[in-house]
Formats: sequence, C-alpha cells, structure tokens
Amino acid sequence: MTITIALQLLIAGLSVGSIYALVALALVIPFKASSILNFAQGELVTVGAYAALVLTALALPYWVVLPVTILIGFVVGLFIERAMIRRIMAAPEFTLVIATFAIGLIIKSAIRLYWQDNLFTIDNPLPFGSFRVAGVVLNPQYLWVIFCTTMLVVCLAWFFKFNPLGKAMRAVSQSQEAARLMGVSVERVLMISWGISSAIGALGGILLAPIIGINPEVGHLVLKALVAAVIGGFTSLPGAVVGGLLLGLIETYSGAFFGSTAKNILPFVVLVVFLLVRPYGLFGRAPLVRI
Amino acid sequence: MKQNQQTVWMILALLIAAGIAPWVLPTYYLYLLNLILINIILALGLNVLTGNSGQISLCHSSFMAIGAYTYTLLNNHSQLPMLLCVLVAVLLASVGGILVGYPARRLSGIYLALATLAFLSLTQILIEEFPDLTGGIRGLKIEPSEFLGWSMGNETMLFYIVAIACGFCLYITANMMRSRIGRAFDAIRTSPHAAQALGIQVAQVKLVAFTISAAYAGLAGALFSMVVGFIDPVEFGVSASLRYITFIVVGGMGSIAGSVIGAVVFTGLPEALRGIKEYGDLVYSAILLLSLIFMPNGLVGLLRARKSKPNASTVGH
Amino acid sequence: MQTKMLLQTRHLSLQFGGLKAVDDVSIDVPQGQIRGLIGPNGAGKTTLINSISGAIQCTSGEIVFDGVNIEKMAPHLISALGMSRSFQHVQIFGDRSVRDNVLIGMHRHLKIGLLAQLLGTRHARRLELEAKEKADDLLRRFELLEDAERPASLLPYGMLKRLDLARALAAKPKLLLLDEPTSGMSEEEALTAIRMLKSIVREEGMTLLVIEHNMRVMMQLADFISVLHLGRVITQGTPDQVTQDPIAIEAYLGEEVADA
Repeated sequence: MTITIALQLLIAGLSVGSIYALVALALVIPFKASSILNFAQGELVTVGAYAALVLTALALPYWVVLPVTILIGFVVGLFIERAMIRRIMAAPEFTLVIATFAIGLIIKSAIRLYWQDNLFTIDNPLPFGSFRVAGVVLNPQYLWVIFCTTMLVVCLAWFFKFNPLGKAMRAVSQSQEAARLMGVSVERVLMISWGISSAIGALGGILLAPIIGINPEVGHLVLKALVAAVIGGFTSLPGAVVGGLLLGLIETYSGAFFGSTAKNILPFVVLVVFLLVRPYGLFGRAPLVRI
Repeated sequence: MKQNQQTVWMILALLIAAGIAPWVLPTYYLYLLNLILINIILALGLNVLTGNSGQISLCHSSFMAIGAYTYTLLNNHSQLPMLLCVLVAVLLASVGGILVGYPARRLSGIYLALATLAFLSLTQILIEEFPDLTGGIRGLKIEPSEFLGWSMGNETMLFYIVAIACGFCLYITANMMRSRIGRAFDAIRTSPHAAQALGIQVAQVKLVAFTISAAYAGLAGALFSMVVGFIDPVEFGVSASLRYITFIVVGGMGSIAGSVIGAVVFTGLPEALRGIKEYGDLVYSAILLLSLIFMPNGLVGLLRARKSKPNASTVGH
Repeated sequence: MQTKMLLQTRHLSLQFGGLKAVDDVSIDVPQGQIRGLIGPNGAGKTTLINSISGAIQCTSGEIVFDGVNIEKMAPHLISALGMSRSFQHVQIFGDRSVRDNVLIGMHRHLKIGLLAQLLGTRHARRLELEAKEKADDLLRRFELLEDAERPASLLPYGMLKRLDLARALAAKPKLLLLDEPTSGMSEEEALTAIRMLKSIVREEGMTLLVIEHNMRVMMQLADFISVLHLGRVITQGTPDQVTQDPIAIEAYLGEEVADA
C-alpha cells in the first residue's frame, strides 16, 4: 500500500466517517435529553435530501438551500416531538423503540409514494472539481463534508458550553427533575433537542445528496450511525464523533484490504462485539439502577 | 364449564370450515387463506418472544428468511422428502434463534433491539453477497416437487399442509401458555427481579423464547416458499419485521387471540386496499403508530375491556 | 445439641459512595427461627435483605447460607439454594391469574420437560394438575381461593400482599425473606395473615427473616429481633427484651411501644 493510496483512503474514510459522526450526533442529542433513541433518524436525513431537491428545483442557489433545508429539518423535528413523541414519553421501552421505527417508515413510504424509487441528485455545490495534491486525488465534496461536520461540532461545542439554551439542555440531560426545579421548561428543551437533532440529520442529507444521490433508501445509513453511537457511547457527544470517524476509517480500510463483503459485514460485527463486551461504548457510562 | 364447551364447538367449527375450504373457495381466496394461516404462525411466534416474554426483536423476518431459503434450497437441490426439508428449515431457523438469543441474554431495551437489528442486517447482507446460492436480490424460485404422490402445486393439498401446520402451532402455543414455561415467559417480562428471586433463570428463559419464536418463523418461511413459489428478499427486511410487530401490537400482545386477529386483519387489509398497494407500508406504519399511542393493549384488550364491568382501581406492581 | 445456623452474615457492609447503608452487620439466624428486623426508616433493613438475596452486591463482608458463601452469587443461584423473598413494592405478575402467580412460585419444584409441555402430554397434564391442587391449598389458607382465576392486577392491595406471601411460600424455601409483608393491610387482615404465615412456617420448618414496621405484628410473629439503626445492629433480643431495651427505645420505638 503506497502512501498515496493510504492518504486517499484516509480522506475517504474521514469523509464517510464525518457523515456517520454527524448522524450519530443527531442520535445522541435527543437520547441524552429524553433517553429515547430515535430510530427514524435515518429518514430525517432523507427528508433533508429531498428538501434540498425541491428547493434546488425552485432554482434557488445553494447558499440559500443549505440553511433552509436545515431549518426544514428543525421544524420537522419539533413537530415529531410535539405531536407524537410527547404522547408516549412515559411508555415502556418497546413502545418507544417501535414507535420511532414506525415514524421512520411513515416518512419513508410517504416520500416513496410521491417520488417513487427514482434516483435524483443535486449538483456539486462547489465551483471546482477534483484536484490533485501530492499525487492524492482530492474530491472537494468530501472535503466539504468534513468541513461542514467540523463546523457543526465546533458550533455544538460552543452551544452547549456558552449558550443558555445549550446549558439548559445539558441540565435536562443530567436530571429532568433538577432542571425543572431550576426553572427550566423541560418540555420546551426536549422539543428543541429533537428539533436540533433533526436539523443535523437534514444537514447530513443535503451534504450526501450530491455524493450518493437522493432516493427513499438514503436513511439506511442510520444503521451505521447507530453502530458509531454504540462505539462512542450513547451518552457521549464527543464519543459520537469519535465513533463515527473510527467507523468510517475501519470501513474504508477494511474494504480496501478485504473486499466489499468484509466491508459490509464488519460494522455489524463490531456492533455485536461492543454490545456484548462494552455496551456503553468507549465514552459512555452505565445508567444507575435502583431496585 | 361453559368456556371450555364454547372452545370445543369453536374448534369443531373451524375444523369443518378447514375441511371444506378447498372445495368451496375459489383459488385466489384459498391463496389468501394460506397467507393468513402463515401470518398467524408468524404472529404466534413473535408473540411468544415479544408479547409474552417482553423481548424487543426486529429480526423475526430474518428467522423466516432462514426457513424460507433453507426449504427452497433443499427442495431444489436435494432429494430429501418435503417433510424433512421443512424440518431442517425449522431446525436451522431455531439455530438462528439460539445465535441471537444466547448473546441477547444479558441485553434488553435498545441494546437488544440493536443486536437483533445487527442480525437482520447481517442476514440481508449474506443473502445479497451470495447470489449464486440465494439468488441475491433477484430472488429464488421453488422448483416443482411432490409430496406423497401429489404435486406440490395441488392447491388442496397445499392448503391442508398449511392448515395442519397452523393448527399444530396453535395447539402447542396454547399448551405453552398453560404450563410452566409460558408462566415463566410472562414472569420475566412483568418482573424480572421477582422471577429471579423465585428461582427462574431469566437468561435461560429468554434463550428458550428466542429459539421457539425462531422455530415458528422458520416454519412460516418454509410454508411461505411453498405457497408463493418464489422468494423475494424484500420480504425479509426491517419493514417486514415491523409488519409482524404490527400484527401483534394491533391484535393484542401476549395473547393467542391477539395473534390471530392481528394476522387476519392485516393480511386481509392489503387486499381490501387493492389498487392502492403502494400505500401498504404507509398504512401499516400509521396504524402501528396510532395503536402504540392510543390502543396499547390491542384489539383484544379493547374487546376485553368492553366485556368486563369497570373494576375498582387496583394497585398492581 | 447445637442448633445449626442457616444464615450468617459476618461484618457485612454496603457502601454507596460516602454512605454506609449497611455497616458491619453480623447476625446469626439459626434454622427454624423467625427473626425480625426493625429499625427506623433508612436504617438499612431493605438494603440488608437485598444484599442477602443477591439483588445487590455488598462491598465487604461475608454471607453464609446453609454452609455456602453467597456474597458474590447471582440471585437466581441463591434462590436455587433455597432462599425466597417478597418485595417491599409488591412485584406481582399482574397479567396472570392469582393461581398462576402461586404456580410461578412453585417453578423450581415443577419438573416437566419442555417438549412434554409443548405437546401437552398426559404426564405433563397430570403434573400440572397436582401442582394446581397444591397451589389451591395454599390459596385457601390465605383466603385467596375464591379469586384464583382472577387476573392478579385486579386485586386490592391487601390481597396482593397476601398473594405475594403465598407465592414466596410456594417456593418452599429453607429461608424466606419478607419485606414489610403486612404494609397496606388493615390491622385485622395483618394479624390473620401473620397467623397463617406462622403456622405454615412452623409446619414446613422454614426459617424466616422479616422486616416489619407494625410492632404488634412483630411481637406476634418473631422469636428474636435485631434492631437496626443507620446501618448498624444496635441491639438484639426477644420481642419482650427489645421493647424494654433502652437502646432500642431511644433509637425509635417511641410511639410503637406506646401502641403495643
């Protein structure tokens, strides 16, 4: 393996890993706040992709489409929490898991109903194509994904550390009761955390659109994001990022060395290993159980 | 004992109906009835695992896949008699159940859901990665064969095979629920701590639940191959698993009646919605979501609530 | 003739962070004794029971049950050795009938092969019938037979406690741990239930470790009482001794003694 190829794979792995990290973040944020794992997260990515499609078809420029797509994702997330999730907050775990799956399937089949299984795409948003640096072919789309994800992580870090709403969300993640006593509107925080996670998902959708296209099965990548979240630990935001990047790299390198079958199987083998050996991931912590 | 007499009459009526069905019903409705019976078997199996034992599982369709592919491959490529093919299919599906159930002993909630999701994904990948064996995404056709001298295409015989299989599953499920293992299933769902304190080995019971439910699914898979004549891997994905979950959530979790009602309603529904088949998944998932929110005890729960008088509020657990 | 010690804890301690919920507890319960545990709220009684039954792991010390060290054992293995318990917040199997709850209690003693159960063999049915009769016998003694077929979740709280008791007894344990068996019962219900409990325990030669707040019940039931306060055993004795012990009285007895 030459250095050139190794670097090439590194960029590809980080790029794929960035998407995994992004969607993993979208999974972990509402989980930390509400202890609910949103299995419909993949479909929220799909929503972002199709929103970008529609907006682009309206001849709007990319620098308008991007923020509006994110906004649409945000609103969809608010809606889902308010209209559906809130009603079942206190339900047993089975209900919560299956309900989010059901929501995902509703979204996917609704999209499929209108757009069928046609594969769409939107154009490369960047004005230049691939270029070479020291023999390594760099695809600017991949770099754009890595850049956007990095920006997202920085924004989130700032948000949770300095923004009052972000701090309120951290309080709610630690203890809903304590947060309530401190005057935080827990309901509002939960709703917004779902909105944020949905917005992040939508961002993922529009970032992916020019690379893998737009079709109803885009959300399938949530499975990989789930693996990333398990690796990182469901209660850790930095863990989600690390998990995502790690998974992207593992996938890309194993695909190069061992072929596509290994590449497809490996994430799930890793998932099972973690579930058995270290279910709370590299950075997560076990919840306290009282009898 | 009036209830027992009622049940006996009901069973008798069903037997007679089953007996004359192939002569009375036109081909299409017989086919539909076969599908209903197969779905009943699937629902019964899933109810044992999820409704009674409380284990979240998203890979029920994978166990069905194992049964379907095993039966079809043995049927197409070996000289084994039909019954043996079915038996091996059920056995391999049960092994699948053990493969999931054993590591799942210590998992619950979302972690269990994820483990079953991993199993589902792995089986899907394996189906697609070995198209020479499984036909890949294009699917697999069942070669014609025969049983006891009758061609497997004979719809009367096919119906009786499916009906007997379904009846058998209903019988053993009823036995299970009335005996030690059935009580253990409910115990580990309701209160694992109390169950453990009373000497029930929760991990072992979970494993048994997974294995038995996988066996049911494997049987259903084999029968499905026979009836449909063609296996399409799209039948074995997440949306299929969700469909079976819908059967029991809407029908009623943990009850045989719930399994039957759910299977009947949801096999009949796509037919009632004929012409708008694309709405299938949308309708399923919407009904599932609405049921989870508004009717958590299923249709059976609704019927039971109507039947009994309102009771004084009780303190349960 | 030396009485065999069925349960012994030696310097048992359980630490949650900085708090010692159970602090250096050493008690010896001889076989056949009905041992009471009393103490003010938060004294560590439930935590002690939880440690003994294996529900939580103690941080230091030993527990010896029938000659076996169980401090590191899993709960189902401990119960396999012959220990059973009830729970402070009743954990009844609500979906199942009252009778089924007792039958679940008998789980360990019902040896029927899985295949026999599935196929409904005559052998399986016969064993089930025998079990049903034993269960009904127990239900009758606790005045629950009339409701045998009812779903357990429909029972009022007092009857649920009786069912919990019957279920724990059905396991025919060597040692039975009871956590506030009469809470939520009326005074009359409590005394009746306790009378029944005591007679069954004596018949079967069971050993009992009971937490109770109701001193009248405790006086009737216990042979010997250990008093806990802030995780430590501060005094022990017969019910008469304990109610007159100034250490115990100072700790908390107060109104209870005045009532009894």
